[in-house]
Amino acid sequence: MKKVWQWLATALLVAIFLSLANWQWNRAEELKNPIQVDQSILPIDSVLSPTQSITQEIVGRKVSLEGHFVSNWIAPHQDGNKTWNVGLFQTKDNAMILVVRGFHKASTSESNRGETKIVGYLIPPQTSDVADTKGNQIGRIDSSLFVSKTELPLYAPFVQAVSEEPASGYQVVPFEPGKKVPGFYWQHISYVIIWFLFAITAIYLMLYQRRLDKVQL
Amino acid sequence: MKFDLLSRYRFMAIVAGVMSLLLWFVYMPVKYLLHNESLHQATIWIPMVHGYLYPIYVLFAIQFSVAKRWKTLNILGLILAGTLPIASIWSERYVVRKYGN
Repeated sequence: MKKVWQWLATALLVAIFLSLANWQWNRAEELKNPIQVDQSILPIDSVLSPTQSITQEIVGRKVSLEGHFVSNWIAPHQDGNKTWNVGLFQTKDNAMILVVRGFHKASTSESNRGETKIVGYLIPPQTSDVADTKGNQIGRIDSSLFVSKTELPLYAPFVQAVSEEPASGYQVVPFEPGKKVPGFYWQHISYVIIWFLFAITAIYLMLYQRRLDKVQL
Repeated sequence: MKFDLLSRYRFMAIVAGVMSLLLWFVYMPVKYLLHNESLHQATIWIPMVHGYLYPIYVLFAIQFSVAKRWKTLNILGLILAGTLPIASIWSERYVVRKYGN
């Protein structure tokens, strides 16, 4: 009778561990396919507040903002060694956010023309410098660089603009409006390995216990 | 350098203990309390490394405890010690006291 219970308990454990391994495997597989992001445009203040950190759920969210540009900056060595124009933008509700306006062009004389409406994607701030800077250049697109330059609250993420009204004349930086499922492929695979190992361990320990029982007899 | 059953187990117990400490007291607060995507990205290596090192700890813990003919429940305890901070380091100390080095 004891043998039967040992087998049943082991079978139950193995089934649980294998189903957990399968669950993690499916999650890893899901990561290979981007999911569709809701492309409706929402005012930025309805998506997050200036004091809020950006979460995975709102990365790539399309937002609109109204206000005016306060200053323009150049961000060299961005994606594919390109140079971007970045504007520090003051929203109507008196918060600041960085906006990637497009690829850099030398003439920026008419780029700050009063009230502007922007539509773009929310992107997490860059965490490390990608370039040495001088003058009006910034090494990374991160609002924390501007903390000492303004008393207004700053949004943590930046906006990658797809349109400006009135038009800025900048060529917009392309953005893939798809979002990855939150998570990391190799992390899920490591859990698959662990759950499989637990399943094998359960079988091994059951056989080991039976061998101990035999020796004691 | 001697790298026998006990040494292998001890090495992985300490590594698993350190990784558990990082997992519980760095990665988890960042992910579940701070909700900061940048910090999350910066610490994502912790669960991944822990995930790959823990199976090695389990294998060495089983190898050692079976060689010492431990009871099954004690072996299970040793395996689970690798998931809790301090527990694997505490069990490593227990094993060293009992079996020396």
